[in-house]
Amino acid sequence: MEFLTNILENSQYSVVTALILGLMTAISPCPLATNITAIGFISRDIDNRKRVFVNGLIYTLGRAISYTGLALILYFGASQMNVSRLFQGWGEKLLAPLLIIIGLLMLDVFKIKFPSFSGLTEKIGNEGKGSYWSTLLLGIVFALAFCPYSGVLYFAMLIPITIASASGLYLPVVFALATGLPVIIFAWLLAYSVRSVGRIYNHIKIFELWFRRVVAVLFIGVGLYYLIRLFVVN
Amino acid sequence: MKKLTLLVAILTAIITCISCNNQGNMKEVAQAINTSNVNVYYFHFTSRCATCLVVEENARKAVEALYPNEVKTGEYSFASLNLDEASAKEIADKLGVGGQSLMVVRGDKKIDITSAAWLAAHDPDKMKVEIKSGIDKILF
Repeated sequence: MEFLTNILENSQYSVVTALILGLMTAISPCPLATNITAIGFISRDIDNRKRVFVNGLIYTLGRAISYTGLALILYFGASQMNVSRLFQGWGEKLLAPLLIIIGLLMLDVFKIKFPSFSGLTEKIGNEGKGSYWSTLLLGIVFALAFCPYSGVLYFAMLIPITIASASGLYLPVVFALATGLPVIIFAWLLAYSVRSVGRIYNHIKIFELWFRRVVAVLFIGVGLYYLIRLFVVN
Repeated sequence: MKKLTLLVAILTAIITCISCNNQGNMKEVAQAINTSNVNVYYFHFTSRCATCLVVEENARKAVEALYPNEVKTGEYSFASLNLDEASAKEIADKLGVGGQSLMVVRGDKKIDITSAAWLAAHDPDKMKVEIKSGIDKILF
């Protein structure tokens, strides 16, 4: 982290600054937890390697949509104070119960026919496989869940250089790419380097059911992590 | 339907518990309201990261080390304000603060040193430089 901070301090180019801020966000504990959850989520299509890698890219695209969308709202005059307070104040608080509920839905503790929920949960482990929309939605939601550290990096450091002029509006995309980099790398490794594992999984259908449960527990675990953070880490 | 009710109940309970955690520190806020002097405000939410805690600690120490006499007389002050508390929101609204930040304030003038302070988080000497720079700018 100190290495990245040094680069950031000496950076003359805003694109490098955005990249480093994104990397600092990606490796900070809180977004790292959501990225690990995302890796679990997108690797549900382990028997379709290309799809796993594409899912990694789509998850990052979801993050880019959120970061760029927020920057555009602020660029076009929305109150930075209100937007920042809304997302920094509520992002993490809402993410915890959301992750726990998605996890419980995956475990079939609840069976509710909400189109948005079912899109996100029911396809995991099914033969039809999850749609790209659910992965995109996951990226959008996870990016909006600002933690204390990532909130400062985005709102206090990236936004000022982004909205200073129209030419800076591409910076959130660079930032998003860097925040999603661990997921892209993992997706690539899963897709193209763990071929034997994928082949074994192809022959074990029961794996899909258990994998769904593992991902569900991952969601609940990360949700609990966020919940505990709200009470303990202060 | 029962399951949906149960789900809503769980959601409500979790959000209520989160809200319960936001107890105020009125004394600290009352001390910070004095705007005629130089005030260094550290705004945060109830949930905080490790770096955020270090920023507060080092910024507070920097103010106390750089201006011991002014701090004693109350001319300069450092206050940590929780944005989840209504009283802190009042000050934040006046200053246009929306999230975690470190501000140097004197009367109607304010200087946002959040970015510099976060980069100097783990270096107490650098933090002193940033705090001094912010205070110097607001004085002149």
